Amino acid sequence: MKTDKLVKDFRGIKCPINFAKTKLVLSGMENGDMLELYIDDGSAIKNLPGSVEKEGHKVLSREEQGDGSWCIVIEKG
Amino acid sequence: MKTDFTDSEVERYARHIILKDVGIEGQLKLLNSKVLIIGAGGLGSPAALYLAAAGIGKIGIADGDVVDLSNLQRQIIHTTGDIGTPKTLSAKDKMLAINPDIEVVTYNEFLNASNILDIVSNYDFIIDGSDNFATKFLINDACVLANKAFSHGGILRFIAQTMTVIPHQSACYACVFDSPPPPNSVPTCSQAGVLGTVAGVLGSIQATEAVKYIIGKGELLTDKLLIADMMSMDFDKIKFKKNPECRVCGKEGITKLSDYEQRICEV
Repeated sequence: MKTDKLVKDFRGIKCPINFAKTKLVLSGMENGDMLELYIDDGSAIKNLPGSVEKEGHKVLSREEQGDGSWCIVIEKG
Repeated sequence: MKTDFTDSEVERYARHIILKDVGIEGQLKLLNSKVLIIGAGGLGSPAALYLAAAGIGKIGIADGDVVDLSNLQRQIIHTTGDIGTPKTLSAKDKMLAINPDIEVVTYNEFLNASNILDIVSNYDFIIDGSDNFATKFLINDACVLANKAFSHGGILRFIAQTMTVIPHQSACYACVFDSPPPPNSVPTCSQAGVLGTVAGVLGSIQATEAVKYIIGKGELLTDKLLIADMMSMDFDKIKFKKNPECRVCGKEGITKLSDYEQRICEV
């Protein structure tokens, strides 16, 4: 099965706008597609992955970047 | 029809979009929906403000009155500076100030049997924020004929009542009350008074019913009359069934509109 990986940078976008934008991006993807998402430290990394999982998607990895921001990879569920 | 969001819309509606039961789909339904509010008074004020904020794409507001100083204790969409201005225009100003992306249509007239059907037919859901039994029964009749869902609301002193009607599926206002009470058997608000916040609570409940109907989620107040006594804070729901013999929506229901005897009361 073909999977696409989309990259989005939501650093600097505050909660919960970053989650609303993530929902919109995910709604345009197919099940199984991957989203590589860059988000801020603090409330973004604390809240967003859990919120995404509650919507039925999988957070496959979360990795701190050198600058304190985070990269998370989401599989659309 | 709207199928996508601008950046500012994502931000404006973020707290709806992140709600599982509203989400992207629900917010798009709201943006593409049309709601008519009859009466820009105590009930219509909070309903209009919240529905504008919610991004209802087109909101109609009907009222033939001008803003009076004695309205301001409860009709929170109007301000002291609006005294003397038609209520529809005053309401439109505030709704667009909250949300310039919506369309507001004003009907600066009192609705009657000859104009209500055409107006109601342009909307998906109607909010009864009227202040007299004649209009309440007329709204019910028009919505049954036009097959439009609506929220009935009434307030007096510290008590509020509301029910939601989906014509031909759930009990209509006349299934429950049949016809207006005899003159002077029920005191009007101008005779008896009403607590301003009671109007605020009920108008907000009616707006909530409109939103739930449009997004197709939750349980509506259909076949139920909610009676809220805000002195004791008792909220009771009384169950009703559609009356097959109802003079309005029953087997031999109405086929055309006529006006009820009008007795004006200021809500």
